Amino acid sequence: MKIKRRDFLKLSAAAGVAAAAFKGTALNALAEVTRGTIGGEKPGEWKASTCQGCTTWCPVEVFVQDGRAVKVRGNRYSKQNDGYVCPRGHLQLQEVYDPDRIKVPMKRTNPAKGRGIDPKFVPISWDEAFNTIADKMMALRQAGEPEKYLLLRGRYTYMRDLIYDGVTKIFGSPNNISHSAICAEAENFGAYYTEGMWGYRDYDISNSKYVLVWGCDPVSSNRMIPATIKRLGDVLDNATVAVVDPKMNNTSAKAQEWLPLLPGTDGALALALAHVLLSEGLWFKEFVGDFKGGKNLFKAGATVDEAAFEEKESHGVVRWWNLAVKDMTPKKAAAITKVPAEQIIRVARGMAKAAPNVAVWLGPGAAMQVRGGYSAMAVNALNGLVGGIDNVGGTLPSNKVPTRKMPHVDAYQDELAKKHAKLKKIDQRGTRAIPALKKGKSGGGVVTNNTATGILNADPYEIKVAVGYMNNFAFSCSGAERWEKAMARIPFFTHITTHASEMTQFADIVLPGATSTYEKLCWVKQKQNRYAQCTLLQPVIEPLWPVINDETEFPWMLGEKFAERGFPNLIDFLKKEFKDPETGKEATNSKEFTEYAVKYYTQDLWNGKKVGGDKITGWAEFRKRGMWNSDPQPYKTRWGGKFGKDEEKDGKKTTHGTVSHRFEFYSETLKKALTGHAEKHKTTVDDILAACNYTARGELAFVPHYEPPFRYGSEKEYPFTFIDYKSRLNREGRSQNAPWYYEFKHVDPGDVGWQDVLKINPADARKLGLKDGDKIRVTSVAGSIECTAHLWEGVRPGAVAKAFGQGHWAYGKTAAKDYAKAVPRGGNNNTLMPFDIERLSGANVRNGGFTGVKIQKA
Amino acid sequence: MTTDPARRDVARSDAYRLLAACFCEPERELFLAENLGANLAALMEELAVPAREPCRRLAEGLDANSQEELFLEYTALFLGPFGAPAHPYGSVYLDQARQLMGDSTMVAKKMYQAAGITQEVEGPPDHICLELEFMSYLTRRIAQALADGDEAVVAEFSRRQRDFYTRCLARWVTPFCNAIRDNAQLPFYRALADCLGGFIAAERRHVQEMATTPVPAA
Amino acid sequence: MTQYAMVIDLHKCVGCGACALACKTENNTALRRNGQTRNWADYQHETRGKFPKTTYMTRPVLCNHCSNAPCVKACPVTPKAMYKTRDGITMTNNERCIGCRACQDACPYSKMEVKDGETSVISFNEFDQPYEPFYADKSEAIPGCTSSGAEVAKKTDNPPHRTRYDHPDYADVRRPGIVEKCIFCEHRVKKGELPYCVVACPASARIFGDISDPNSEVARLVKKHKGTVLKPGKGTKPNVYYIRSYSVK
Repeated sequence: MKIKRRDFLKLSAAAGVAAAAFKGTALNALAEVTRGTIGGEKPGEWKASTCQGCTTWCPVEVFVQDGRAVKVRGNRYSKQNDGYVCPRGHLQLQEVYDPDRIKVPMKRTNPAKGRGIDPKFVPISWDEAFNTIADKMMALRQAGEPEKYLLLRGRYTYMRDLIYDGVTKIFGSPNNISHSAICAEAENFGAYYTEGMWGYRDYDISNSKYVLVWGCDPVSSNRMIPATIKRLGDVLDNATVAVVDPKMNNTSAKAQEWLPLLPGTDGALALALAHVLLSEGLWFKEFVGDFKGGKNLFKAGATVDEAAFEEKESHGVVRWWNLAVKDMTPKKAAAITKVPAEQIIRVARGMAKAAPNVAVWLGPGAAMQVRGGYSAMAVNALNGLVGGIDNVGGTLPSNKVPTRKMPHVDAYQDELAKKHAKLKKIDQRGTRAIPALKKGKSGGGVVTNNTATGILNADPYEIKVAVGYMNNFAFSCSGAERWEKAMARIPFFTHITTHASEMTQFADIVLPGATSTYEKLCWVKQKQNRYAQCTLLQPVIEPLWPVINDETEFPWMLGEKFAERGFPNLIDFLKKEFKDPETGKEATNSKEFTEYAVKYYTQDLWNGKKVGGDKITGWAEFRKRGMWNSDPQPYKTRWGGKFGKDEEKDGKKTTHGTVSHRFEFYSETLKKALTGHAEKHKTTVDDILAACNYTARGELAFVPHYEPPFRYGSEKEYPFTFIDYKSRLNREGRSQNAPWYYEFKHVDPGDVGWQDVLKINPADARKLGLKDGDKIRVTSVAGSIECTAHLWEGVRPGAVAKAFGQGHWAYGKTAAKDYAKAVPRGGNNNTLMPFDIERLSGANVRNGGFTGVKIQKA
Repeated sequence: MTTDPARRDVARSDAYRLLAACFCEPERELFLAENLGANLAALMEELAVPAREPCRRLAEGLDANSQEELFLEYTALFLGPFGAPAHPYGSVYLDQARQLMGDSTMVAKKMYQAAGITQEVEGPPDHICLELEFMSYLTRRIAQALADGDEAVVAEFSRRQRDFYTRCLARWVTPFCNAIRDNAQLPFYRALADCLGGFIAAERRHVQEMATTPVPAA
Repeated sequence: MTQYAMVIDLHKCVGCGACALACKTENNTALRRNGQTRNWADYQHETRGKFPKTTYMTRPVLCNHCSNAPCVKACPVTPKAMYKTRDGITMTNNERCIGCRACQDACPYSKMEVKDGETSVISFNEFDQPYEPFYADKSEAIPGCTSSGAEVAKKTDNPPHRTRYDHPDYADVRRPGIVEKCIFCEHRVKKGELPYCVVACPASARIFGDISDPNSEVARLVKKHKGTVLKPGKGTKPNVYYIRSYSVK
């Protein structure tokens, strides 16, 4: 044994026990085991794209190693998500690499169509697929009936114009039908007929002192999820958060106040809050104005002279009080809603104290009801009463995203197209019982779910050829089975899709579509936290098989086939109107076309034009960053009579926004729209309201008011009121084939991993003799499903709640219990919920307690 | 005598280390330059080990004999071409067969590994130098953990130290020292045997006490 | 001496699931099967009270990297396959692990086999099974038209979204016949990054650092909010702390 180092003979530092004295080793023949080198992460690149797991449309970055997408995070430049994604961002990796993705175009060889009937799909070439589609479509033109072509759009990007408008209009059909009314059109109705904005609001919660969340769960769904997740903790410290939801949700679990109202009684609760604000003199005077004498004349039950009040930014507060508010005392509302009167008073006073830094966050739960149009208005009216509209800590409109509009198609439409594209639409919008009053216009908006009615009844005519993309109406619309029948009626249907969904089972040709975040070049726009954004979806990886971009490559490839058949109009439009804005070159193939088109739309964001927001110096930089942020949205942009403005063009006067140009408690705008619709059908507004299943008559039709909820199924036969809501892991309809969805299903409060549970209050379960985990059959007037009972105190006795998402009988081997035999895993809420629409807006109905169910042990 | 436990353990660690150095091939110039004898004496004093007399003899012996004489004695005692009279390996004293690389050798090896220690030199792991050096290491980790206030590490290494002391080192040091005393010619090695014997005997109290001091169970 | 620790701020946490999913994408953990979750990060939920006075909370859970780790004590291998690094991470060495599962048995936060709704911070990969059978499955939903797990894996990796990294103790995809658990993403931490669940948490509810440094954020937060640990009575001295409450009610 030798001494190897002199240190071995030295005494430890005389300094003694300071920790530093012990550092370093004085070993000779022994050594501490050294661990191997930590190599860390292998090289890769973060590439910018966009997540479309929900309507937040987060700018994201995808980490790519060896050409594979391996991780997802928020885009580092984003002022919306600050570089974070919610669980959906991570979950989507199982979507792009899903074993059940369609890898080749296929055609149906079994002409019989229906659930459980094997379409007997076989692979075909892209050429055969497009030849078949083009032949079928051209046959319609040859027969002089191009209107019998139907485009069914699902989730989209803003390249939608090309397939949705471009193809349809140049071909000559009026039938470009979007999914928008499944989403939350009734919510937009509430905003439009109070503040004159048909669009989703932005919420300045960082500066709020009171946030009243109504009918949604913003940390889980809605339109600013990561932004809300990031801020909620601080908001709870700095403000009061109150949540209106008939069942416990993620936000209400954390909030100071939870108001679990009876489903569908939102209007009564909103009016009662207004009653407190008005009768106690707590409204925000700078916005609403005040009594001329300064004395509050709003007394419960008492009619007030309109002349006594001088309004500032609003219109019709006294008339509203007289028509709808004066009798809705907290006590009366408590009886209707089952929310205690003291809580109503406390919340209203809390809001008043925090005014005007109050955001009333109007969600679909308050709106997507049979009679939800007026409850949406009532909830949004509260934003006016507390002055939070366009205000610090309140609700805001969005900054503009200065992208280009689609070039006009007129020059490419032949006579046939011009004439037939103006025919009535298959969704029957604007008919007497379906006003669909988007932006004040009779038949102004889509009535997605009613398209099935049009197809089934061949009213106004038969649909012979249809194309659908990124949609699955046979699963996602209430009364889903109606869609199965409707789809079976269409003689030739092409589905562009990533997965063989329920709707695909009715397809004659199936084209493998690109997944949105990973394989497409497109753009979308959205806003949050006062910033609007334009964000690119980019092909960050090479697809494993040839797939097409539905919105750009399908039109291009179809256009080429049309040209071969003597109809070059579509391809001419795409080539000539979407030249590369930098070089002026025409595209020669679908990929070039896609890039030129995206460049065309977004050019002003990166070509040096002064548009404000982020400075981006060129196309290459825009692609690298992946996004553009606007300047922050200023406050009070519409105060001073700018909630509406009149425009005169070619002698025709049109109004954008509210008719009174103010925030309307008495909606002159709705009065004009309803009157116009009634006149069109030569009838009265009262008749229209009756046809639309509303109870209001007379002047009440023009103010936010309470309508008793409409319910399918008697309480006797169907004793439980069904509550539908969205799982926070739903990537709209696209995550149910991902095993991680089931693994973490329990992050939905009250849910259980790998199960589809109906949540029942334990008291009710006791009465039914049900135990936790029992297999149950749930039945409504519309249909019946099987699922699992879970006893939970987050739902009131008499109501049951189930997250939407499961119950697929197709889509893939994970989503369905047995794909080959069409056996569903769990139950689809849309089987239970009957077909219906909120007729004033055209919106699908899924909330408001409209479905009664009975429960039996399976 | 020091009362600060961390400081005391630094001294113990140093003592183990210097004793280990003494059992390496002698390097007289280096030993003298580093005041080996005086330092050892000071440490024993600090630790209240009754070894003043052997330490003085050890220092004198180092002074008195040449490098060559020391080396010859080292070779004769520990390496001996015909079977060393004072084998420096534990297994020779502990195993039935009195052979190298016995079961007891494996015990030592496992204890090194468990503590995250490897042997950097060839040969059986139960060499007196290695065992003393290992004790020095364990004691130093305890001192460090005491200074950091890391009770868990104190407990863990105190336990390791007690186990190693009782299962290995202390079991064969006495016969080993006797063998040196019986065969050594030079005062340096005779004194070294007395120093080692005295120190290891005095250590029993420390290792037992430390490992039974109530700390959260490891 | 460094002792890495994590603080989870329940007031900020919204129970969204992002951290556990992010962990699965970072560490390529396989799907649940045979009572093993393979979720290095997971959640426990609790509903209390009667409607409408109901309270609900979510608690993210992960390996507690205990200072007094029963799993390390239980590991019978020499040198130990489950051991503490100098920075206080409870580390698992894939090469030395013999799959005896003594650690899983000893850990008060783990179960040998989980039932519905239960969590386990240590999981075991069975012998003689591919790590992720989901991507070894050759069946096709529509033969010749849709892909299969095996085909996707062949064109990519298993799992296809496998994040590749190098670490001397643990592989980015672990072999069969061994246990696995959270390792505080040491392959990131030693490169100056934070554990992936920390950077992925959209609520910034997870804070990571050296708790032995009283000036570190973790130490300050634990002190300020009187951080608590899971099952303190077990004497394991966890280094995952919870602060504040999930609900403000």
